[in-house]
Order: sequence, then C-alpha cells, then structure tokens
Amino acid sequence: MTRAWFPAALCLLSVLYAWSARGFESGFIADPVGPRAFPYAIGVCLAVTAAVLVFQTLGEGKREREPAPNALGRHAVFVASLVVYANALDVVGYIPGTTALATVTVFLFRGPLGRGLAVSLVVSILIFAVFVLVLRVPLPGA
Amino acid sequence: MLEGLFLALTPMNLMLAAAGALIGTLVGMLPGIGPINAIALLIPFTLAVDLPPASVLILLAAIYYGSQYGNSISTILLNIPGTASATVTAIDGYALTKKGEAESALATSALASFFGGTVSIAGLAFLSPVLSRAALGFGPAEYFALMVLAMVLLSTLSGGSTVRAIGSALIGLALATVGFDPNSAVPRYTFGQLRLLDGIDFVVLTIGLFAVSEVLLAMADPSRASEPPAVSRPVLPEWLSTLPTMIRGTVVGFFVGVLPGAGGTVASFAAYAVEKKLHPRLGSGDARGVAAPEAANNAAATGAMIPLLSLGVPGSGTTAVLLGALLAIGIEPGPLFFSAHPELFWALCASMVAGNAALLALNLPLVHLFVKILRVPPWCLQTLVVMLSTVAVYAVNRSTFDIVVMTVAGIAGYGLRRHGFPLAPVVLGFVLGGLMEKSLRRAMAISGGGWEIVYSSPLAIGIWVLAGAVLTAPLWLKPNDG
Repeated sequence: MTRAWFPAALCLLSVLYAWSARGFESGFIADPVGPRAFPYAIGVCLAVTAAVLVFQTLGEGKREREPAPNALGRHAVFVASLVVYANALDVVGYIPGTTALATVTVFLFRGPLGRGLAVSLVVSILIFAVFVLVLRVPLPGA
Repeated sequence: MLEGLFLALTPMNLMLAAAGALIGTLVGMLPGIGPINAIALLIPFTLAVDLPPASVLILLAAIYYGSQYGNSISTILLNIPGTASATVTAIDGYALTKKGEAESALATSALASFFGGTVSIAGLAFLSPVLSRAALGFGPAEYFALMVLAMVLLSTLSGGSTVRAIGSALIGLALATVGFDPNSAVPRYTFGQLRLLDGIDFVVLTIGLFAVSEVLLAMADPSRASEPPAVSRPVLPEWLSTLPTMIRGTVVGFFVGVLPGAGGTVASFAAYAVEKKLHPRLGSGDARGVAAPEAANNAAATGAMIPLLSLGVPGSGTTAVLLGALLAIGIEPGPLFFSAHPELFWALCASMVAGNAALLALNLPLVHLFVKILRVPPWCLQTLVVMLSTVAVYAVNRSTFDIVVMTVAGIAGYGLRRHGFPLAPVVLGFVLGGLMEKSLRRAMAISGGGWEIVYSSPLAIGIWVLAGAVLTAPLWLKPNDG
C-alpha cells in the first residue's frame, strides 16, 4: 500500500477537528478570541501540512514497509488485551489482572510461557508492594 | 555566604545529600512517578524527621536531582520518558542503548546533569536580582512569541522531514485542546467523556506514544526486540568531547529556565535544537544528544529557582511543590528573602552543589549495575515495559480509563513512527499548547482583539525575528557536521 494513505487520513481528521470547533460557543466579551479560534487555526494548518505531505509522499512513490508476518494479528491481540485489562482491573485486582496481561505479552513475544507466568507474577507482586506499601499509592485490590 | 556554605558541608548534611540522591534515583526510576511526584511523595517523610531548615533544603534538593536522574535511567534504557524534557533525552539516549552504548549514555547523562546543575548555581547566586527583573518583562505576547520560537526551533532543526516535524507539533497542539477551555470552561473534544474534561494527562500521552508504540514496533519488527549488542564501557575522551555541548546546554537552559512556565521543557528542546544545528548527526545515537538536554534541564531547574526565591512565583511544577515545602518549614520566598535569610540562600546554593555531587558520586559507579536490566531476554524486557507502563499510567489519576487513552496514544505513536513523524514535537506541542493559547488570548484580551499586540514590544519583535531567521536558516546556512 502507498504510504500516502497516512497523511491523507491525517488531513481528513484535521478537517473534522476544525469543523467540530464550530460548536464551541463563548459569551465572554472580555475574550475576543474565544474557544474556537485556536482549534480552527490548528486544524487548518494541520490540514495544509498533511495535504503537502500527501503530494510529497506520492511524489516519492515509496511503498509501505511490510511488517513481520502475523504482526497485525499480534497487534490486535495486544491492543484488545490492554482494553480488557483496563476494564477488568478494578474487578479482578492488580496482581491477577497484571499477571494475566503480562503473560499474554510474553506469549506475543514468543517467550517461554511457564517462566513468563512466574516472572509476571513475581514482578506484579513486587510492583504492588512498592506502590502500595512503600509509596502509599493505592492500586486495585489493595 | 561562607556560613551558608559551611552549613551544607557538615557530615550530617552530606549524609542527607547522599541518602536523598539515592532515594530520589530509586523513586524517579519508576516511570509515571517523575521528579515532581517523587518530591511530593517524599516531602512528608522529610518533614516528619525533625531537621533544621537547611538540612531539609539539602535533602529536598538531593531528592530532586536524584529523581531527575532516575527518570533519565528509565528514559535511556527503556524509552519511557516521565517528563517532557526527558523526551528529548530519549531521542539519542535510547538510540545509544540500541547501539549497545547505554552505559556511556547514562554516564553522560549523570555528568551533564552535574555540570548543568552545578555551573548554573553560580548564575543563581550572582544574577538573581537582574534576571528576576528581566523575567518580569515577559508579558503574554512575548510568551506567545517564545512558544512559537520553541516550535520553530524543534521543527526545523530536529532533522528528518521539516514538514513532518511541523505536522507532529500541530498534532501535539491539537491534543492540548482536549478538555475544558481554561477561559470559558467550554468542553472541547471530550466526546461526552467526563474523564476527558481535565484533558489528556501528559504522562499518559507520553507513555503511550513512546513505550506502547515501542512494544508495537517490536512486534512488527522482531529485530527491534533483540538484545542490544555488547555494552561498551564509557570512555573518558568521549565525555570530554561533550564538554562544549554541556556548556552550551547549561547557558541555554539557565536563561530559558528563568522564565516562569514551561521553562525546563523549552530549555531542553532549545538546547537540543542548537546542538542539532551544529551536529546534524544527532538523533541516531550521539552522546551530545544526551548531554545537551540533560545539562539544559538541570540548569533550567536552577534558573527556575530565581523567580521562586526572588518573586515568590513558582515557575514550574517542581518549584511549586518546593514552594509548598519551603512554606511548611517556615521560609517565605519573595523580594525580602535574600535580605531576610541570606544564610538560607547560600545554604540552598550549597545544598544544590552537594546534592549534585552526591548524585554523581553515587550513580557513576552504579551505571554498570543499571545497564544490567538490558541483559534480560527481549520477551522479558518488553513485558516489563508493559507492566511498568500500565502501573505508571494508572498511578497518575488512579483511573483505568487512562490505560485506554494510553493504548490509543500507543497506536497513534506507532502509526506516526512508521510514517516518519518524529514524536518529540508532538510532546512539545502538547506541553506548550495550553500555555500558548492562554498567552495569545490574554494578549488579545489586553488589546481588545487587536493582533498588533503580538508584535508590539521590542522583546516580542526580537523573538519573532529570531523565529523567522531559524525558519529560513536552511535557505542561507549550510550545516557542517562535527
């Protein structure tokens, strides 16, 4: 796939960003700029920059460097596990939740699962002890 | 003066400096804690022990320098910067680690921090009254111009594609607009999420952009996750070659640091940009790329003490926390501080030297030990990065939603890096965005909506001219590699 899709998407996003700013209303007379002007300016500048990049990239004619086989699948599993972790952390507690997330990461990096699980558990307990007992930063399940 | 200096050199105070430097380093190494939080977390302990004010100052200064260095360790070894200024160190620091020169990078960081911190104390001691008056000359229009200059400096001098760097800075500015508008309290780009009303947290964004994207890149390209080559020993001549860089970084850092606001961040970026101009190879793993921001950052920390002590105005988050500690021990900074407490002022100066010296003496021998973390297998190191990143992000606001934001930032960082967009300008734009918009709107409110205020003072004009010169520099200057 050509690399130009990325700046093109960025251009589209920046137009949407600037367009969304139309709803920011402010009734302050003492604030002549208001909450809209800055996002408008950024959106327009970013859209122009991204458009320049689209033409630059098309001119270069480079193709996107292919990632390793199965990279997309591993990315999807990793991102999904982070989202699940975020939603389950308060329910399952820090140590079990983090051990599970870390073990999935070990699996994704093709590490040894048994040792990976042990390392994940020990490091989770260590982090929990340092944050909760030493630094007094509460973690779920404390 | 001598009374204050001798006060810092008692065995008890030297021991406190060493203890503070060590504790600060250990706490600062934890990503997400960072220097500000490290000091805030450790202040209750320092106040709980009944120490004289000078000893408390020494302990706090040592903790501060220690935590700053600890933050550099996680930045250089794991690419997890906990502060905006550390993101600059990450560029060459992590590249050096990948080249097998982590030990050299850490040693350079320690030496540059010591150099910047110590030399700038002379500036603090002798230039305080003059510089505090000069800092007062910076109004909102001048601040706006300064922020634009910082963006221009980084975008044009950071190497690679200038257009991409400008794009990155604009993305950072856009991200800074998320949350309540500070002037009108209108929510912007929160998509109905209450948890975005306060905006995106800096630590959450940077850990996502740098650490999570690094994990994603390692998955896409397994060679990235392979063990770095054998670690080379630091060499004295290499350190000496960075001395001119340290001097430049210290000068830039100190004078920029005096300005209240994002002084330390702008200082690090500006020092790096100056160095990049002189040595275009920076960015691919050069010790000077570590020395410049580290010296500038520590010099800026000293410079930030000037408005704090002479005006009672904390110029950064860390000095704000320090102000709280000073007030807690009965010291009130302000215009009368120098005449009312000269011995404390000199004790403070001496405490900074002692803290820096203790840090250097403790950490140079430990560099070899810190680097051992890289010997762990890649699967283990990446897992460690994920675990530290998630706990750091959670600890900021105790919110699991931040982990989702970090994940989104990680995906965005991965996309940006794969398409050649540098990440440092994103961070600079994000950090300066709020201040930039606030300065512009304040200036416009003063002028009643007239744009001429932006270039109405000689100082503002000078900054705009400098920004224009930097922007057009590639057209009339041919860089020479050194």
